[in-house]
Amino acid sequence: MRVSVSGIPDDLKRDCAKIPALFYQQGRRIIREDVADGGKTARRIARFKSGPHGSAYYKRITWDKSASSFVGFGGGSISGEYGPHAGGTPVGGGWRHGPPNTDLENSLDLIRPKFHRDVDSMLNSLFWPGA
Amino acid sequence: MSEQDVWLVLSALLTATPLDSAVYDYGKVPGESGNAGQLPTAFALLSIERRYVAPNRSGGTDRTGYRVSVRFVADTAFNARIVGGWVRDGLESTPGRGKRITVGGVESTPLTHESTTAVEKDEDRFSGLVTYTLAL
Repeated sequence: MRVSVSGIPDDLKRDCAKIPALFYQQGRRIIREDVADGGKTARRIARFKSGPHGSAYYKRITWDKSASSFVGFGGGSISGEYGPHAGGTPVGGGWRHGPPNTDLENSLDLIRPKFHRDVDSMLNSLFWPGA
Repeated sequence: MSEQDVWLVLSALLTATPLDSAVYDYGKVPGESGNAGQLPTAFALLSIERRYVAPNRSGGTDRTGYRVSVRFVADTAFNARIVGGWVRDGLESTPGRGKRITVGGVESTPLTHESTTAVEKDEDRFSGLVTYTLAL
C-alpha cells in the first residue's frame, strides 16, 4: 500500500505563513474599530445620563484614532484606549456628589461582547481568510 | 425583586463587618449638608444600578445584571484603606472570591470585582471606590 500526498503540506505552509501578517492587520483593525465604538457609546451614555452640571462632560471622552502596537520582549500587544482626558471639573466623584460615574463601565458592558465576537471570528478566519 | 431588595442584602453583608451600621445611601450620611447628627469617622456609601446583559441566541436574557459600587470614606488615607479592607471582607469570602447573595429565593452569581479607585483626598475626608458586578 502506498499513500501519496501532494500539495497539502505546501498549502498548509503557505497558509500558516500568512497568519502573523493577517493577525497583525486584522487585530489592529478590530482594536481600532471597537475602541472607536466604545468611545462613541461612552459619549452617548455620558450625554444621556448627565445632569445640568455635567452636560458638557461627554465632550471630554475621546478615543485613539489608530491602534498602537508593541512587539518585543518575547511577545506583542496591540492596544487602543478610550475615555475622558484629564483635567477639568471631576464628574461623578466624591462622597458628597452622588453615585460614581459608571459611563465607561456601562459602555464596556455593550462593547465587550462585540469585541469578544470580533476577536473570535477573526481567529477562526485566519486559516481560511475570506471563508 | 427590586433594586431595594438587592441593596438591603448587600448592606447587611457590609454591616456585619466593623463598619457596623455606617452604611448609607448617597446624601444620607448623618452630619452631611444639613442632615441631623455628626459625620461618622468611617463609613461606606452603597449604590447599585442595573447593567446591560448581552442577549443570548434566542434574543432574550434570563438574568438581571447589577453593578454594585461602594465608596469607603474615613478621616485619613490610612483609615480609608482599612475601611476598604472591611468592605472587601464583607463582600468577598477569600480575596478575589466573591460571596453569593440570595434575593427573593434566587441565588446570585458570585460578586465579581470590577474596578477600584485608589484612596484620595475627597473634600474633608479621604475615600476610595470599589465596584463589583453580579447577576441574579
